[in-house]
Amino acid sequence: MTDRILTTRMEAHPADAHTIARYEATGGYAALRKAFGMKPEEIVAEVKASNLRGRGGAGFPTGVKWGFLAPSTPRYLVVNADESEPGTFKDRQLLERDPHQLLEGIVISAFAIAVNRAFVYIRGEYPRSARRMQQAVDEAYAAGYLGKDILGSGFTLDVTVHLGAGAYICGEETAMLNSLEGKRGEPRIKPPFPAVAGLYAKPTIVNNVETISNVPWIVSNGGAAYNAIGPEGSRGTRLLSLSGHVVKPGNYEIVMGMSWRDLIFGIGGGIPGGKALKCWIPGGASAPWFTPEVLDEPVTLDDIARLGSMAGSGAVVVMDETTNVVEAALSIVRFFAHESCGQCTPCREGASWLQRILERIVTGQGRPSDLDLLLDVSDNISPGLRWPPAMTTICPLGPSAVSPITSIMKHFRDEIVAMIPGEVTAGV
Amino acid sequence: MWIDEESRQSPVAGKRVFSLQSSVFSLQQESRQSPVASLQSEGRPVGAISYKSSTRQDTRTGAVAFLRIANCELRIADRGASMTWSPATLERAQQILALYPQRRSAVMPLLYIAMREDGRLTDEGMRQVAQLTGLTSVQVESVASFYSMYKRHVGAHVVSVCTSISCHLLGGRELLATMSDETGVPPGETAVDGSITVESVECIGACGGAPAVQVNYELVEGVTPEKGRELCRWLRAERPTLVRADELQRRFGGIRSFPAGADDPVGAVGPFPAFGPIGTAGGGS
Repeated sequence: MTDRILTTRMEAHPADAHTIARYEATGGYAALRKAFGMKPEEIVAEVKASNLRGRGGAGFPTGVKWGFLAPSTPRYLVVNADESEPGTFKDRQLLERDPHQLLEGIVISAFAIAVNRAFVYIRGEYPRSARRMQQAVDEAYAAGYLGKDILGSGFTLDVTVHLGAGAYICGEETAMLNSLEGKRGEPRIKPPFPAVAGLYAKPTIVNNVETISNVPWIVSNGGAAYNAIGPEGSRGTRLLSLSGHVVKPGNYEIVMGMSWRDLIFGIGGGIPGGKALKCWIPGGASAPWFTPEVLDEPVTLDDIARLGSMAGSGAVVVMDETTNVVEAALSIVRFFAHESCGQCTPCREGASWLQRILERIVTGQGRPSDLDLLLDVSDNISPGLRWPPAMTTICPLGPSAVSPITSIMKHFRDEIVAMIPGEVTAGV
Repeated sequence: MWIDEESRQSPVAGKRVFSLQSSVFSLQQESRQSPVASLQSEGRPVGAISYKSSTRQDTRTGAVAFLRIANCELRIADRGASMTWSPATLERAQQILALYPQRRSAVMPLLYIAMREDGRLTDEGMRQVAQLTGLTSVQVESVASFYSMYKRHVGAHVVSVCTSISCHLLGGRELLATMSDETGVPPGETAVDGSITVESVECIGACGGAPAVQVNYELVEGVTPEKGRELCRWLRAERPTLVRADELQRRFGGIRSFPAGADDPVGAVGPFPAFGPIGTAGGGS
């Protein structure tokens, strides 16, 4: 059974996997030729049959999303390469090391959903990724894989590589569309969803880099073959970004279903210095944290959700026993306070208040009432403090700032209390 | 009457050309309603005017419709409406505009061009972008101010130290303090001589190589405090005009998120990312 889809070429050919010559020499663009022999709806059916789920964070079934696309024209495909979720660096590797794999996926996807214009929105801090992607686009135009009448199919596609400028929120799909329209990257109220009214108010599909990079393999091998890999609900392979206190951090393409123990102690090589594991974040900074009692639970989308968190962007951040979890939570809350676009009061004010409260606790100036205050502010951002969160805001950024708060309150309340001078009475 | 969107956006030195196309109902209505007069009544200064007129007959009702297009120049003195960019830069700007279905979408890449022209984002640069995209300067500034990489105050080299969670766990804040100490520049500030800016940044996608730093957005991973000091000393001594990630990594880096593959000859030439969608990179090589 196949256990690698996305990373075989870059591993076998480290020097030139990003070039069109190597890509073609290793079977590249064969899936595109095959796709042009299919009807667009047959390609959509294969992607639906594959049960490919979005790799950006929400995990929505890709084929189903494509099916929502409204029939009017023009319509657009936007590839979300604004990878900014703390802990995540998988898309950067796909962009820098195998950009043609993504590009072939773009052409096939565009053909399948009848789009003639695609954009790759790459975050501003990834200039090397953007250069590699642009080089691939230029090579593809020269080779006839982009432009008018691609490979004599009569299909036309133009691709523009667009560079962001430092705003995490642009990874939210409607904020990305505003940004691409030359506006402030503020999320839009949904509905309408982008599939109905997206870029320039036209039907638009927004897909993640890793999601689209899987498409050539699915077309070559069939949706059924993809659906045969991995456990139900987590089909195919998945690139996990492992970081923090692990011996071997990095991106690992895995078939889901292994245990957290196998991931952190097997693949990740365990905790440096033989220290004990304290906790980890299973799916990026927005996700609630896990502690060692779930080490033997399987790593799948559904199991992570069942345990009250999310697989999110695939970023696993490991913390050892020496970690000051209040400072770690502060780092994450500061991130969300900084990246709040400012539209919604609960997020704009709430996240920055959470930051200020944690800062005074960390500097020894916490107040006995601060645990209650943390919970109260959190509850006003995300009522009921449940997962998945209830929303008081246009997008999920606000509730994401609450995840580290609820995590440390649930698992490490004693450690917060110990940092606060005086008697703490509440906060349960 | 309406103003043709494309004409509204035509950048012309010293003026904007508006195409005013009147509605096509009746001759009588048209003769009473002059689009130019209505603009003048708003107090807007109108320059040279030329008309093109034609009639059309509706095949179904037989009614004769009258179409009049007035091309008039609007002088917009308060926007300092002249292009100060070099012909080469303007040509590059036009190529970027052609990459998008709507001109406004080019605001972000054009803001990078503006930074490249002046070494930072200036009022004049934003005026140029406004002219090219058909926006006002204030609209451009409202976009630019949303994004952290469009900097109005920045040194020749911007050193960005990641302090988000994975880097935080592995010494990002200590590295930031060390580099601030070595340069004498507090986080978020720029040296008095304009040589260097030191800042704390949120996650730059290098978590497997924590702690990570960018110099003019070129990445170096696995930076120890000692290597961080060396990097600062190198910047101060060499004042490199070209900053390349591979070179930074070899001299000052350690563990990385993943193998980088082949070297990238392109590097940054200022405090903005080395990427341009036209040509090789927008940087130097």
